[in-house]
Amino acid sequence: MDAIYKLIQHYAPKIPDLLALALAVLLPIAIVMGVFLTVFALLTWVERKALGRIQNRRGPNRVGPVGLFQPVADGLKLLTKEDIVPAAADKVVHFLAPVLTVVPAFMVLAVVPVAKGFVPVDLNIGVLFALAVSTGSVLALFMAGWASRNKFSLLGAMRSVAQVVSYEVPMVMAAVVILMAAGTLSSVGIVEAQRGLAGWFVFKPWGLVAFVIFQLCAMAEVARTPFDLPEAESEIVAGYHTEYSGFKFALFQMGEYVAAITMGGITVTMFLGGYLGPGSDLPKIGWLVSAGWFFAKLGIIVVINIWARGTWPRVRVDQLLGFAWKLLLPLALVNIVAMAIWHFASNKLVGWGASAVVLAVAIVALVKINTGQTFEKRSYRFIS
Amino acid sequence: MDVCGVSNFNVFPCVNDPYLTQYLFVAVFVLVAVLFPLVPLALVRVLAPRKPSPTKNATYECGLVSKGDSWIQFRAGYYLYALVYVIFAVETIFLYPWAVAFGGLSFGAFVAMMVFVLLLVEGLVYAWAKGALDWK
Amino acid sequence: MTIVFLTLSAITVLGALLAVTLRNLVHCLLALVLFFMGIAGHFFLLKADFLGAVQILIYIGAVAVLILFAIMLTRNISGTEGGRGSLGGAWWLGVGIATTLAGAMCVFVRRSDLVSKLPYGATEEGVVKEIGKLLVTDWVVPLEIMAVLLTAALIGAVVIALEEEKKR
Repeated sequence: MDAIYKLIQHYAPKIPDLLALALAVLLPIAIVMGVFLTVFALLTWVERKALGRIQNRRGPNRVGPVGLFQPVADGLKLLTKEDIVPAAADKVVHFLAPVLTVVPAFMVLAVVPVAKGFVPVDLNIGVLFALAVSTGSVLALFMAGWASRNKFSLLGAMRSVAQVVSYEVPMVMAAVVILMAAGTLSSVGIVEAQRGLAGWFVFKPWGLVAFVIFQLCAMAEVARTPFDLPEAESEIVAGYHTEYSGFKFALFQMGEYVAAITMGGITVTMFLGGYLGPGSDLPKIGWLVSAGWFFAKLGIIVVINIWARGTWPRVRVDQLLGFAWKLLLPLALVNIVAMAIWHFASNKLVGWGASAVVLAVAIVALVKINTGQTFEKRSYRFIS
Repeated sequence: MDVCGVSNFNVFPCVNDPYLTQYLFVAVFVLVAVLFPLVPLALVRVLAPRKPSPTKNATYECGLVSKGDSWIQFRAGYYLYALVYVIFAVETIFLYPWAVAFGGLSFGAFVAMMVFVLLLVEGLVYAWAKGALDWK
Repeated sequence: MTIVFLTLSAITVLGALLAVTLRNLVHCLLALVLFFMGIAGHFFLLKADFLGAVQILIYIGAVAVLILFAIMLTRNISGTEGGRGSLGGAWWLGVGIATTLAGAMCVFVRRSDLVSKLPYGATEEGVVKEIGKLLVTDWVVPLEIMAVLLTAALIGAVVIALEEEKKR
């Protein structure tokens, strides 16, 4: 920020100081929000295209070249749609909910380092801040479902709260090993700790396990298929946003997608080395190369998300909650031990092997325990 | 009351502290994030048609008329998950500082934290064995 | 800074007041969340950034959700049944107790020399690291007692909730 302020003062000394200040503060915000909103718009298009491919259809192809302007058309359309508020709804909360859904998604952006030397604000507690802020979305979803005074909405909201709460635990536990390795909560510090050949945390046994847990939880947190029970179309219409139309609906979509992208950004930062990559330290163009690396990695996460959505069926409620509490959480705890073994081992190779073995055993055991249960044979009663 | 004088090089002139500058920036970020969705919503007021009707504003239930209130009582099952969650969230706030300091700690310190974690795992195992984590 | 402090305090007090005066329980909860946010803001202002984030994570993310589910367990959420609002008839008693407690706290905080005793200020290395180190060295016994307490709470909650389930 200071750098921007100085730049402005240097190149345009005639600008009044107060305006320069405002610019210095608002520019980084505008840049990150602008960039991520563009990514969001692109993502909706990419997702629909990719899903179309997976389902053997074309996807959007009318507006602009290969349907590239579809997001713009969608946005304009939703802007001019009537905004229907049900008569039974709690008007104030109904209005606040979509606004508040977007806020946590954007707040996470404040600590994501998108390029070398460019992070809106490098907080000491960066990652904790991101994880804490992202929980705020739970309340917005609940507000939406409750204020609509619709049974589907409320059911969807309750489901989504239970789901987010359940997946938050393994998520924060998975992040613990990263903190142990990096020794800091600052997002930039975590990226810098992943320097070196195969230094990314995902390349270590505990890092890989934590990455998988974190990624699954991130998908569940933003309620993406296969974890999209809060908006299971076939069961409860659109869940918590059943009673929303027009731009408020768009805001929910935006909140969900931006949250998916920003959580992807956190995943990239914590496991995939953030902006690091060959050429990210070059003197003049380093920032551009590093930004390229960051978004390339983000793209990988996004593709994983879309692919999962296109290929996996929706899970059942008991499976969903059991998966979080009985598999991911114990695994995340074992992972901490594995990380400690890796850390305390006299020889790096021994530590590598030992932690890998511990994790493999834990995974096999947990899967065994969890799949051991058998279901009663289905019985049918005929009513003549 | 402090007076904001634009004299020094800091971004927020009345704050010389880098820490507070950071969080003031976060506060501005919050404001922008809140204002951002409000602008299009205000636009909608101007652009979108407004023709409310009793049918249109009725509660959506796939065409059926909604029966009874939807603000109903929910099962205790949800409550249990929230409780377990609170316990583990509290555990996290102890784990995080420890994890950050982990690099410079001895083996004994690690064991101390593992005892802490194991005690909580005991609670988890109990809840698991009792079937409190099963969705019924 | 004073301006920021006053704004935050206003938000906090407003949230607290709304939380006790609104009739609809969910509205009360939302007001309470506003109050929690105000407190988190105060922590950030006091340079306790870790505590601020914890406040958000625990209180807004977890405790509010817990209260929410508790509310959803009750009937009469909208507060339309029954005559009195959530303040009840004996509100003056509550105000009295709250004032006494707040007064006592003020007196003791002013008297105590805790602030000067604090071993760690806002160091560059980070308060978080310092807390982590102290947790497993100087304060290891309280930490384990904490774990026992949490486990007891967890087990107790499970027992009570299962009893409830059986009754229904």
